[in-house]
Amino acid sequence: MTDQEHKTSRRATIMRGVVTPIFGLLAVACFVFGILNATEWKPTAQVNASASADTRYVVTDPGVLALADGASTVTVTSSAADRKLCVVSGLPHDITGWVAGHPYTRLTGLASWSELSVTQAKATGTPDAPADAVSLEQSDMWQSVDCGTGTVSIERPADAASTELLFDSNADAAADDDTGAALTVSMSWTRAKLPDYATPLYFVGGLLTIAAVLSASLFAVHPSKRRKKGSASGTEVARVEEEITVTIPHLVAGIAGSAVNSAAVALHLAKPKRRRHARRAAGGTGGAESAASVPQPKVVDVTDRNMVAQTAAAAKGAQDAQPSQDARPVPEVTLGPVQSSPDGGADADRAAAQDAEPTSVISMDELNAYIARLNAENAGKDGKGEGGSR
Amino acid sequence: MIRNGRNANSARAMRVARVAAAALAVVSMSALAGCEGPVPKVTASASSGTTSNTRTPDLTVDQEAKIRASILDVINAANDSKDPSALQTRLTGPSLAVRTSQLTIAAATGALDKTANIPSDIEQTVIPTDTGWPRTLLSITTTTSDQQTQRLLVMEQTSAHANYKLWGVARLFSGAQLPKFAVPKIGTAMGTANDTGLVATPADAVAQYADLLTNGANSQYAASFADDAFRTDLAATVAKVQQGMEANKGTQTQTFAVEPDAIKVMRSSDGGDLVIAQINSEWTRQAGEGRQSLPASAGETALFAGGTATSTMKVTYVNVIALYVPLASSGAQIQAVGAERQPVKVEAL
Repeated sequence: MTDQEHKTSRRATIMRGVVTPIFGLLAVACFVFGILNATEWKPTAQVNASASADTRYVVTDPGVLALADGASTVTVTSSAADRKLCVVSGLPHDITGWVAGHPYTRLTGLASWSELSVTQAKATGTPDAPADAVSLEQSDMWQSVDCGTGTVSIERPADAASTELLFDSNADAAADDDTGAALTVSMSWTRAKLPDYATPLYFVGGLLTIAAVLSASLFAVHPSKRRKKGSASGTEVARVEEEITVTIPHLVAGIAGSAVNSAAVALHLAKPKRRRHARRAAGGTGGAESAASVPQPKVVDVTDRNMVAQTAAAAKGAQDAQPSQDARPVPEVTLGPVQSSPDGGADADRAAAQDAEPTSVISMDELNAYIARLNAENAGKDGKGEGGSR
Repeated sequence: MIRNGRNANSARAMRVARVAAAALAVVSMSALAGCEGPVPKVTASASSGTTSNTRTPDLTVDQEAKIRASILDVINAANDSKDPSALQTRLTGPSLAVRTSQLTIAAATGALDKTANIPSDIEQTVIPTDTGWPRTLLSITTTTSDQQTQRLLVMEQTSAHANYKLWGVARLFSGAQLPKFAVPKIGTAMGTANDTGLVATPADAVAQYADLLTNGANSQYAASFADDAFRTDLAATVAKVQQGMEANKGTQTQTFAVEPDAIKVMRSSDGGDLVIAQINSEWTRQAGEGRQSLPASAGETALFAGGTATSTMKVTYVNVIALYVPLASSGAQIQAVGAERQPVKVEAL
């Protein structure tokens, strides 16, 4: 078993034996958590939160009433059943004006899903007690007024967003009286929009399933083996097309592959892929690879061509009467016009020379000599038989 | 080598297990922590609704209708009983003085003057956006059932714990053009008596109009004001009385004085101010040749209430004037758009 085959088999074992089950388990976990989030753990639509206060006035901060949903139900219970309890809905500046100079309790938000946060405050200004003062219930400023004794409950519509609530636990008292009662204010909302944790989990589960399948199949094979076997026998045009054609499935597989390869690199399962032109070594200079190596489709970076070396190689090739069959240059795929040659040997060198001197004119003598040599080469080749290199 | 390989394998397995455990923990934590979702917080945008940058109309149209209905209930109850004593719960300022006088006259004559009629429907309301007090609310009624012109109702709220009261009523002149105001959903900013950028400050405009009423065409401000029905009618009445006075060698003088701080200003959307102010006037008529000076109308007679006439009679009037003071850049004249004039006291000197 060669080192390459050993690596390939170890890679397949780890990919199929370790990575695939991990991805599989994670995928199952995601689906299970997703289903749980969609059923058992589904967030409750009903939110109830309450707070206590003992000042005469309690005021909601702007935005508090619409915290969980636009519409809300507010219920307030007073410990003093003999005092009038009023809940009014008004503009924040009107409420501030009404409680000016008085201590009051602010409802500032949700401390938790079941508890309202409160802050004690004292409104600026002096208590307003004109001779023609009216009670909270009789004031013109409120958009809604609900009064009672003991408990008052109001339904707040979603379109009352600009107004806040003022609770007065002693609504019949004089304007400058701060005597209050122990109040319990509770708010309830029915959430129209519940957080959806199931869908992202299903999505992640799906991705993990794909990753598990890919790591059991595609990524269990060494990248060098993964290449299409038929590509070596295709024409150069086909090879060019293969190299440059990128489709969406390729992209998806590529991204997934990079992720798995990165994971594999992190786990030291595979060495990072070498860059393609690094493998090309001196290919651009017309040098030969070993005969044992299978010709691979190569993409030549035309900007990376060493013209000086090519010219020198062409000059050298012109001097050699019969280049060695073994010194076969690697067929190159260029992005320019494809040059097909019946044989890769001297013609390739000549082609290189033509590249160097594209405007040179072939005389009739040279053409005759070329045809004669071609015939001789073909005759010799037929005699030796195909080496199976093509 | 084998031991090394095993060590390497076990280290790798541990690393894999650690990564797997971390991934599992992340997934399960996000799932478990997200049971009810994060507790919502009050956002800055929600609480910024109270800042002075975003002006909200102080009242809705429904609230204005409710306030006006409450005021008219008090007025109608007083009309029925001809008793002005309950008026002050919903009336104040010049409106209280005028309505009290109208009811006193009505009690004497048996019928309320037709000009005292206030329609219950409105064409337009101008709602203030100011957050402080006092606040002014304007409403323009429809024409009356007997085709009298619209009434401009001026309501005032003096403090947070007080309610809106009818401060003034001006009968708009026929064909008068009121400035444009923002719709009730947007609201209108209240002006002040010292607003600048206008042909004259509102306070100056009212003082100049009082001078114009006193001095007529001889006033130095005559050119600043466009003609209006109030001055035309007043001049006609004065001229008529003057004829009678001249016949018995009597004299008459009429003086107009601005009531201090009795001014309400609303800023129109075209830049000018609509100013409503109280101007008091005293009309002193002295009969010549030893004759008695008697009340000049049924209303004055009712207010005189059987007093002993002398050669001199002084009648005190409350006038409510509505002026449109345009922008200085417009080059336009100040235009009176409505007025109310009511004798409130008749006395023999």
